[in-house]
Amino acid sequence: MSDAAIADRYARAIFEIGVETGQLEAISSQIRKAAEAFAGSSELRAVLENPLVAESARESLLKELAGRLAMGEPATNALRLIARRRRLPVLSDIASRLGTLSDEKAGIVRATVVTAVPLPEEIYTQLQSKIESHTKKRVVLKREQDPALIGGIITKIGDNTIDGSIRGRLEELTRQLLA
Amino acid sequence: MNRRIALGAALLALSLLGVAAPAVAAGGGDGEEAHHFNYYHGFVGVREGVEPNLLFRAPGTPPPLGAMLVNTGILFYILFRFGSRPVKDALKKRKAAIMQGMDDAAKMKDDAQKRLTDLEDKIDHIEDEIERVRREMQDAGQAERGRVLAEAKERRERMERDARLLVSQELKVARDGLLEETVISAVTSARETIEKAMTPAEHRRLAEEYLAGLERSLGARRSAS
Repeated sequence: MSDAAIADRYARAIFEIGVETGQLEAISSQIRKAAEAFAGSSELRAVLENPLVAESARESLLKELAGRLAMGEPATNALRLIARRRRLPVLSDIASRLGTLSDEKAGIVRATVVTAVPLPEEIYTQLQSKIESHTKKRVVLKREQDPALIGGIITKIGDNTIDGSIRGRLEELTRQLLA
Repeated sequence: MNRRIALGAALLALSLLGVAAPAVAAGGGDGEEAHHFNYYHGFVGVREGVEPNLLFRAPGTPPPLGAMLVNTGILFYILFRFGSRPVKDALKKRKAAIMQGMDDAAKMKDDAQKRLTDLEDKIDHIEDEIERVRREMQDAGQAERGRVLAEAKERRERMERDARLLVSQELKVARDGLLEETVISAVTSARETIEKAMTPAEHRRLAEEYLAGLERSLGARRSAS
């Protein structure tokens, strides 16, 4: 079974628990934070993925991590289950998939806006409004800066990317001239 | 072969004996004649003091001619009895060998005659043959010349094609490289110019332009999906 399929199965199970307990958003957020912590700490990965570390030691470490991240009981239990099943390497995929499911449930679309320089707030507002009117869903914008764009905007919605940057236009021009 | 030699030697000895015997023989007849030739006294042997008779003869008397004739008859009988069959067989074989040799010689003669006829025929037509061979060699030479020329022509054409292809490929590579270099240089130059020209107002203008076209882009993506 591929990592994506595994992540989907675990994410759907956690999603069901979140829906049943009415804590879907909190659980999704907590799992995402745990995945970020796991991905960001090589020591944590080395300990939790090491099969020589005793189960009790791993459990206590996960409890401590859950405590520091202020994770609720459902999220903690899900994390312990994932660790017991040796699926921590796909934790970030599980968190991502869970976030997607949670957003779909809540009617939220997440979009990333990349610009060369920070733009006036009204531009972001108009952008958000246009995407919302197009998707008929609430849009959560994530703003990023990349000076290599030179100018213009790149918007990423799911797998779709709308490139209106100067860099993109120059790259397209280069492709056309060399074709 | 040895048997034949032995028979020949016996016959020769007998003939010599027959010739020599009258010269040395004596006795066996009446009066003076009987003193020289002994025709029939003493067939068995010699005995002292006995009247010469058919069985015995006096000492010094030569062996009787009759005994020599009897001995000769016995000798011829033996020769005929035991020597006639091998001699006949040998003669038959010899005859067969001679006949075979004659047949072979005749055959060889026929072959030689035939070869002679062929050679004479060839000699008679030697000029035609020379002409034919010369023509054949000339034709073969012409054909070989044509083949060599055709091969050379084909090779030359192939080399020309390859060279043309190589040149065109090299040209294409050079053209592509030059174009790429030119485009990259132009785009780099354009990027630098644009970067220098970018102001907050330009950023805003580009953002508004993007927003104006966003709905169209989103609509296009929806229809594409």
